[in-house]
Amino acid sequence: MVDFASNSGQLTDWPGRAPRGTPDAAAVALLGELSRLLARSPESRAADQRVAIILRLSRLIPPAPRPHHRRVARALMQDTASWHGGQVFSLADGDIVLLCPPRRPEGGRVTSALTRAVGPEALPDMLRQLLRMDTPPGFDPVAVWPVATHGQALHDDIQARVAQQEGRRVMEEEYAGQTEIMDVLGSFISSAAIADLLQRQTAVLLRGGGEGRGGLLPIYQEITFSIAALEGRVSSAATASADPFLFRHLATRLDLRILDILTTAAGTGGPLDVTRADGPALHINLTVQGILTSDFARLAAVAGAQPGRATPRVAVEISLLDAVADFAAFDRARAVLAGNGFAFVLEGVSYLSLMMTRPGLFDAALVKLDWSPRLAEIPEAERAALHTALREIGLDRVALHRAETEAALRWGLACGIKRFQGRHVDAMLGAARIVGCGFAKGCTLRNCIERAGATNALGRTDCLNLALLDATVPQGAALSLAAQSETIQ
Amino acid sequence: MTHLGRHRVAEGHAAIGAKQEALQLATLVRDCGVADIARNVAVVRLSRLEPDRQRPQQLRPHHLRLARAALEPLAHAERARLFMLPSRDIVAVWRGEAEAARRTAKAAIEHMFAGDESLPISPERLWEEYTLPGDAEAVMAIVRGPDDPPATQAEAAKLIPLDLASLAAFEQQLAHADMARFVRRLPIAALRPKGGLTLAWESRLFDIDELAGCLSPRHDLQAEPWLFRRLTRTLDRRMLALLGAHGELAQAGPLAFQLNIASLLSPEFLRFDEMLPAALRGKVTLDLMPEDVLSNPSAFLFARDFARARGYRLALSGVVAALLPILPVRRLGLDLVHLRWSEALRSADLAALQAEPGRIVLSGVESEAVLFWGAAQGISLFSGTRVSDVLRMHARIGNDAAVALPLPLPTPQPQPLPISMA
Repeated sequence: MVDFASNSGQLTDWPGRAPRGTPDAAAVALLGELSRLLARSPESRAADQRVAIILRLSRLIPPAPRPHHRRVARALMQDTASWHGGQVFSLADGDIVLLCPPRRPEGGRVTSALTRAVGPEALPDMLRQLLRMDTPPGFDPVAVWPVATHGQALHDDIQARVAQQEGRRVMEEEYAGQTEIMDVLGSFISSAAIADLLQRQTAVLLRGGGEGRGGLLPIYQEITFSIAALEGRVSSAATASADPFLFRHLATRLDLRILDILTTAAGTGGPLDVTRADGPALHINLTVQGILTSDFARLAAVAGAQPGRATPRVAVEISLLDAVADFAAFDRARAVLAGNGFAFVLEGVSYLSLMMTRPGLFDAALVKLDWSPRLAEIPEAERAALHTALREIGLDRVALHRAETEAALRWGLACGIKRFQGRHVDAMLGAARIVGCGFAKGCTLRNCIERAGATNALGRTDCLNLALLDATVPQGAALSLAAQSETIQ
Repeated sequence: MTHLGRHRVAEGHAAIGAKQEALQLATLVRDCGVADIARNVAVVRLSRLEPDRQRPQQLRPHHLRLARAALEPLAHAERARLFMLPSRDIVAVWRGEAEAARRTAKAAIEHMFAGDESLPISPERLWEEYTLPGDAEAVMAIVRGPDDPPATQAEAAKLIPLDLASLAAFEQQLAHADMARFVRRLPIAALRPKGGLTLAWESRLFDIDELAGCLSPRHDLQAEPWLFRRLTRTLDRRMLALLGAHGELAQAGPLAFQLNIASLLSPEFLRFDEMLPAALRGKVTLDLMPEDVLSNPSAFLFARDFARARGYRLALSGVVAALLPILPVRRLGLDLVHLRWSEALRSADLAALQAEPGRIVLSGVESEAVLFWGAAQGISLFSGTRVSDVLRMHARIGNDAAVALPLPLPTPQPQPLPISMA
């Protein structure tokens, strides 16, 4: 059967939102088909065995649907249409509708496990399986409507979409051109003054009694470049993380800058001073390549073990991605860190990578698990596996990173995790500082959080209590914060 | 190294260029051995005109020019390439039948030096012929030269690392290049019940050194690992286009190739999938890299389930022993893992590494001892130079000959590979 609805051409085509005033061609074609059905006699309509398999990609969790979701789903549905008789309609809002018989017709072409096409009866489950990671909890991304009974409802729904003309646009991958944009970013990183883009974030240990009643103990401050600010300075079109491989390459350039800045700041007593004996440890993100440079050796020389301190002042965070990409180099880098008394922290562990790998075997002092709202909603079976994976690492070696909400903290505490880093922690610390600060009359919580995150004088210029801002330990505040830092080992 | 007939190395850069070309020729010879690629080789031994390096040179620049010109007829042979070595020897390599061109080139060389009584040797001794992979050692001896140290990785280090700008330019260049000539086949062998090896499937891959030598000779494509990984996506697309070409796989047996997740979800893969002959469905293995899998786990899971639904097997490539327990194949939901051989493995116990021998392809097998180690561990799939040698021996003697190895290898328990949807 001719797929007239998919007349946009090749499978690669991605219509996106139809321009204003331009009708959604696929929706119009589908409406035409449904109108023909509805115009028939009740008996003829009732005899129509077809079903509408509606794939609601537009309802996936952003940033889904990605172009590949649509491309692959459409290919699968197109195959079913071709092998079993049907039509595919790719709507402008991202959804795809397949009109086809409910099952393979008697005497139709025999399919096997090795045949590409999936029968209409099995297709919905396959689509659900494929999209399960991007589907909101409790939402079914596939609806199957018998045309005979739901033809009118489907018609009304599609008509409403055409009238609305407000489909979500899904961009095709910007494969070409990414390299050029990243080249501009890379040149900027290498040559521009970017020290003011360094920011810091404090991680805490939540102790006893739970949030609000127990203690918040700052355990480290992570120093990173603000990638968003970096992108903003270069170009509105620059998205450093669009390509993970190019981003890792840029990270090697960022390494050289941060190593240089920290080496210069050593002994100055400021927020970036790696020789300070007080306050929590400093964490820096480096690539494996960066650790193996002479720039790192210079930093290690100035940050050497401090008298009277048995524990390292500096820890280096290496991403899981970097560690597995070249394990031999990673192993050398880990030895370099150990040789200089620096702790090694494994970062960039998502809950999916935690489920698929065994990050506990990297022998890291700390493993940073990235928070995702999905963590709170994973099925029971996966939850058990997750807890097993966390226990394998050791809960005392896990920090919940990107803890942006209270829900993150609650989930972490329920799992037995006590170390947290993220915007919600920033807010808790900021609130505590404001309560305990005698100069906070004109300050907002946001002011205080931003100033605490800044590492340069300009970003902290309006704060009249820098000692409190830097200490991250608001003495006398409602939260009982400890006055000494805890090391991660 | 460039294409034969288009050699344009400036004299001022000749020395550096010659060392690079020696390195590239050495790579080509090695690859021919590994993948059992047949090539004809002709060598003009100009180094023999300088038996004593301390004495004034008898070899003049015009000799080089004329010798190159004499080899011009071979430029039209299939996959013809020319290498100027530091020793002044000139090596032509080509594939298949080119008898007339070979005779013409040989006669031209002999004619060029005929009657020159100052030559220390007869003109006939300036011309030598070899075939690869059988004469690999002899050709490698020529590559090394009489007193020049062998080309090493240190020479390669003189190449310029790829940067973002050159990567962008190179990606553009790849879009229009004839990539078929850079494709190599690497055999993966399975243990036979009686102890020998048999071809299980072929891995198709681009010869990166040759590709770089031809298309971007001043760049070391792999010096910046993340840029190289990015480049592999472009290479993926070209490989998919090649394999998806009409009729390309009509006669093909089971095969494998490396693929990024993004490529597995690309329009090019869908086109390849559409063109895949029904007989090959279920017999294609897609090799994934660990860092790619972990760069976007959500996309990986989507791609994995899609590939499984289409009947592809999935393997994890480039895994060293230390990574085996960290990346459990079963937990990743993959079928196979390519475990790179290293001496550290010799004393290792796969059980301690929590690996499943039935899912391991032991790669980099260069000796029988490694084969025996693998077989003793229960591994049944192998790749590497020794594996290629054994398979070549099989091909020459006949598949039923039990001479693959001096002793029959222990046969592990058969463990069928899962290809159904998880």
